[in-house]
Amino acid sequence: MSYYAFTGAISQGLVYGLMALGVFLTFRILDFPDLTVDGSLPLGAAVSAMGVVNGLDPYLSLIPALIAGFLAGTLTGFLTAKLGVLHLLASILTMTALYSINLRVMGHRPNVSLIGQPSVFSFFKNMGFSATGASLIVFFAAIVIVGLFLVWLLRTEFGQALVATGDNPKMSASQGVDTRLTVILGVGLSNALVALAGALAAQSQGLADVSLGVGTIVKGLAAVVVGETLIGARRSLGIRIVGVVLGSVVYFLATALALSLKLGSFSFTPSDLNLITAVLVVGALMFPKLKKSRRAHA
Amino acid sequence: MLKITGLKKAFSLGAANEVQALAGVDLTVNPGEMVSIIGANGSGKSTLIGCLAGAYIPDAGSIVLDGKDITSWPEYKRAKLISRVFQDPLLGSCASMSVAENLALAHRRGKVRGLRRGIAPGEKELFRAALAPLGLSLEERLNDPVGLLSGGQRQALTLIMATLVKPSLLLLDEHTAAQDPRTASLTMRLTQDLVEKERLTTLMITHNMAQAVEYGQRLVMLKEGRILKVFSGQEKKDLTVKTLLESFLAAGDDPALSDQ
Repeated sequence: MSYYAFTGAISQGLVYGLMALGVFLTFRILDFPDLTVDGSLPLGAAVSAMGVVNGLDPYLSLIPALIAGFLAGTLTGFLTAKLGVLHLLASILTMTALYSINLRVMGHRPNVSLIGQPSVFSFFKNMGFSATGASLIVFFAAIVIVGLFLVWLLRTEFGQALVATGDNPKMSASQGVDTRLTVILGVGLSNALVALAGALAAQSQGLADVSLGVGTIVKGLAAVVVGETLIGARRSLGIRIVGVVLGSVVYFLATALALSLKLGSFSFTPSDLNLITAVLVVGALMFPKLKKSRRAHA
Repeated sequence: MLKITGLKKAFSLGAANEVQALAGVDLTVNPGEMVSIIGANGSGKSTLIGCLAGAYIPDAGSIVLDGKDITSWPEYKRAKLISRVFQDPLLGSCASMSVAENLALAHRRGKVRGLRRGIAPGEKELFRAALAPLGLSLEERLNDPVGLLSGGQRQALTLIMATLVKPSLLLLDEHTAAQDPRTASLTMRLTQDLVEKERLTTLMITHNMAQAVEYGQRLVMLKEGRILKVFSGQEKKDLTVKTLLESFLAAGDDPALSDQ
């Protein structure tokens, strides 16, 4: 693996770590498998890119991206909690609808170029950092801010209600938690983070693309389960959040490594990534079970 | 005070398998009174609890608690007034959360949950004081996940959670049915202590005749969604499992309904 591929994988791991924290929030905390993320990631990218193209400050353009992602998530939450649509199906419906919405946001184009536009990295590039260096700084700062925010939020009264709703909805309702509202807000928050990741990724690669979101949920799951394989699932919240980010970085390093492998005339191409990811997720999901059965046989 | 008037609830209304689970129940529970409800499977016990807790909205009738008509309130809103202990000890608490976090959730029952800290400074002292009388050393395990506790410990914790903020009505939904006899009698003794100390208005659904005979000021027998018989005052005090069993037989119910 080249140095370029290595730093690229780390910076991708960090920005997609933000997305994975959103997936962690739904998949692990709320026990809500949410596929909305495949649509809300490019939604965040599209909203932020259109803002920047139309002269909005790149940092300020993250705010409408966050709001758009939040709204997309609340729609999925609403379909599930209020209309009784199965969560998985509700999220697929939102994701499908978002495809059209994303094209509309970008003015009926499949992508919007940000080449030559100011970005959240401009400040650091002007200070003399390379493009990769600037993205590492910004992504790392974003991860730290979001991670601390989540640790704080999940320990507030609202956050505890969120955790309780995911753990035991019946008990939560009997303690006076409006579990439907909690699900709607929780899925909204998750997708706000995913949209933020999309906005930052688009500014980093200089392109918002409608197909940016394909496979987002699988990458997010990969980060969550790889993280848990590395640090264990029964840890404190702060450690688990660090684990998700670590999982995301390890996942991108692993795929970069796989892409650099050459076995005779065979080598992986970027189009094989989704297959590699799926295999990786299955492996990481099986890992705790394998460990357990080996212990049982010993 | 709880006042239930003309409560009716049917399932699969209009279909061939229509069931009139509650066919008009009138019941008043006075402040500080403990009433046990006993009945065979299908007598309407669970539907009654469901209507009180907000899981079902009744077809007719009303439920008034402390002067408020709560008949159609959603479950989370009723939590302001009602606390509940479930049959399954696993249902009453969150396994992945700590003992203190569970108590903190219960301490905010029915209140708006904002962005204040989930466990306020000094709150743990209050939790320790509430747990100490159990004699289970739970007060030393505040930071342990509840999933590590035994079923009996979890049910004891649930009872403390249910009474941490005094409810207008305590609902006990066969809360000892999933426990072994020794644990069940410990749970019942704890229940009795809490109910007497806090003068809690309590409705206890039970399968266990001995329990229904021993505890509470009144015993209500349900059959086919109606109140069949009420034992109160001296009659309740003199009641034995044998005479209760005879009443069941007289009513044509299978005494095998009892768990023992």
